[in-house]
Amino acid sequence: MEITGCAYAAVQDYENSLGGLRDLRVTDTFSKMGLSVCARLWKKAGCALILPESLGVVLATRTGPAASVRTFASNVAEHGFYGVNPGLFPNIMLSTSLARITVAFGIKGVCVPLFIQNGLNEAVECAEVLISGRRCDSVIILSVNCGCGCFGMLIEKAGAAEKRKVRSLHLPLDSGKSCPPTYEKGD
Amino acid sequence: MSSLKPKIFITGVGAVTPFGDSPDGFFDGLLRQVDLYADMTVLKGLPEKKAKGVEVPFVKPAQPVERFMELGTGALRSALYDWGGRQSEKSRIVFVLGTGVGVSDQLLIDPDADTETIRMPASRLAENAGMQCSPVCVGSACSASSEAIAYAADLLREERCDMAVAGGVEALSQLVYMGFMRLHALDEKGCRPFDENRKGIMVGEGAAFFVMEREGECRGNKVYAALLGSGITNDAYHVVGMDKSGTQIKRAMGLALADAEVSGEDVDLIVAHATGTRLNDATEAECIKSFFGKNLAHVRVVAPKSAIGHTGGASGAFGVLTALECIRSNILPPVLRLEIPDEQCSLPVVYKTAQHRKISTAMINSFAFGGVNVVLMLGKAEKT
Repeated sequence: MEITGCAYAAVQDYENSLGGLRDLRVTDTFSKMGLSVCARLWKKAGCALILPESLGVVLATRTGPAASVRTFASNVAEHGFYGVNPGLFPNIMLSTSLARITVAFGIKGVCVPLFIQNGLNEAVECAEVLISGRRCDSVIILSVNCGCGCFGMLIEKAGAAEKRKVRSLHLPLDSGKSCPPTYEKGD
Repeated sequence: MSSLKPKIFITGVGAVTPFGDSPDGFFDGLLRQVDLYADMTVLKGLPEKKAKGVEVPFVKPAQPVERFMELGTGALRSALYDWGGRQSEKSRIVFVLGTGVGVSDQLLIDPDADTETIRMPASRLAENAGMQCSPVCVGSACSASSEAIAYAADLLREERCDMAVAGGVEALSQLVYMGFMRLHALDEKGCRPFDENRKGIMVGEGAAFFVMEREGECRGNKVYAALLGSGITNDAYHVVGMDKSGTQIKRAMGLALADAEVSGEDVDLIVAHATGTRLNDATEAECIKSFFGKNLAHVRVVAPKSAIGHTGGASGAFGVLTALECIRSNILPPVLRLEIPDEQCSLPVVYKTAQHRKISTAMINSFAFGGVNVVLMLGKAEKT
C-alpha cells in the first residue's frame, strides 16, 4: 500500500476553505475541521480522479463531536427542547460529520466513523483491511478532534497513485502488525 | 463455487432485549407478538408528558452511562459465556462495538463530564466483561452495529485476529427522542412498517453481541450460523435524508451477494430496515422489488423494529439476531401492528401470524442517517 498524500489543518484555518458549502449555517466546528482537511487532501492527492465508489473514508476521532453535544445540551437546558433549532440535532452524531464530508466530496465507498480507543493505528488498520479485502482501492483517513488541529492522509493500493500521475510515498506497512496481539500463545 | 475466503461462523450470542436477556426470550417475544410500546419511565426531563417507546424493563439504572453499560455488559458477558471458551487460547481478540449516540445523554445531566466518558464505551464495556482485546467503536448511526459486524468479519478474513466479538448497544436517549420529535419522525401509534397509515418510528433500546471465529478454529461444536458476506456503500446524498433513487442501496445489496458468493434466487428471507417512516419503507420496498425481480416470489420479509422499536446503533445487531433465530427455527415472526399493507410497498411481508418456512440464506438491511448502507448476508453454517 501507499500513502499518496497528507494534509494538516490547524483549528483556526478551517473557515478559509469552505465557501459555498451547503448548510454551512448548521454545520458544526467539528465537521468544518474535517471538511477543511479533506479539501486540502483532495487537492493534494488528486482525489477527484478516483472513482467515487472505490473511495472510502475512515473518520477517526478520540473526542467525537463532544463540543456539539455540549452545545446542544446546554441550549436544551436553557431554552428547552422546543426552543432549540432541530437542524442542530444531527450534529450530536459522529455519522453526521462523516455525512457532511461524503456529501461534499461525493464519496460513495465504504465510510467508517470510528471512535478510536487507543491510537490512530486503529484507523490505519481499518483502512488497510478495507483495501486488502478489496472493498476500496483508496481510503481517506481523517483524524479530527475537538480543540486540536486535524490531519488527513490517503492510503491506496499499490500503483493507484501512479495511474493518476500523482506522487506517493511507499508505505512500509507490515500487514497484520498495525495492532499488536493480545496474548502470546501459551500464556 | 470456490472461494479463498475463510468461512466466518457465529459461535456465541448474547442479548439484552425488551423481551428478556437471552436470544430465545427475544425471539419468543417476536413470535408471540408481545406489544411493549408504552409510556417510558426511564427518560426524565422530557417535556412530553406521554413520551412512549420500548424500554428494557428489567434494567434499572436511568443514568445514561450506567444504563448503557448495564445493557452492553449484560449482552457481552452472555455472548462470551455462551461461547464458552478461554480467551487466553486466542492470540488476538478484537471487540467491535456499534452505537449511534452512545452515552451522549450524560452531557445533559452532567455538562462537565469529560470526553473520555463519551469516547470510550468500547473500552469500558470490554473491561466490564473481562475481555482482553483490542476494542474499536463504530459510530455510523443506524448502521453502526451492522458495520461493526461486517468489519469484525473482515478482520477475521484478513487474519488480523483469531476471534472477534461484534454487535451493538443503544440506550433510550432524551436527545434522540426529542430530535426525532422535532423532525416529526415519531409515530404516536407505534412503528407500523409497510402499513398504509404509517407515520414514523418508535424508539427502543437494547444490546446484542456475536462471537465470531474462522471455520476450523471454532472452539466447540456450537455454530449458530455463517456470516456469509456484506456490502457497504454510501449515498453521499444528504446529511439526514434518504436518496429516493436507492442506487447505493441496491449497489450494497449486489456487493453483499457477491461477497457471500450467492445469487438473488438463494435468498429466502429479508430482515428489512423498515423504520416505519413513509420515505424509508417506500424506498426500501422499491429497492427490494427492483433488485430481486422475479426472485422475490420465494422471499419473505420481516421487520423487528415493529416490536422492539428503533434501537439506533444496535438495530443492525438485532436484525442479525432475528435472522439467526429464523434460520435456526425455520419460523418467521410476524410484523407487529401492520393492519393495511401499503400497496406502494407490496412486499411479501409476514404479518398477522408467524410462518413456518425453511430458511437457508438471509439478507439483513441497515440504512443509516447520513447515508451509510450496510447489507449483511447470513446463512446456515455448512462446514466444508
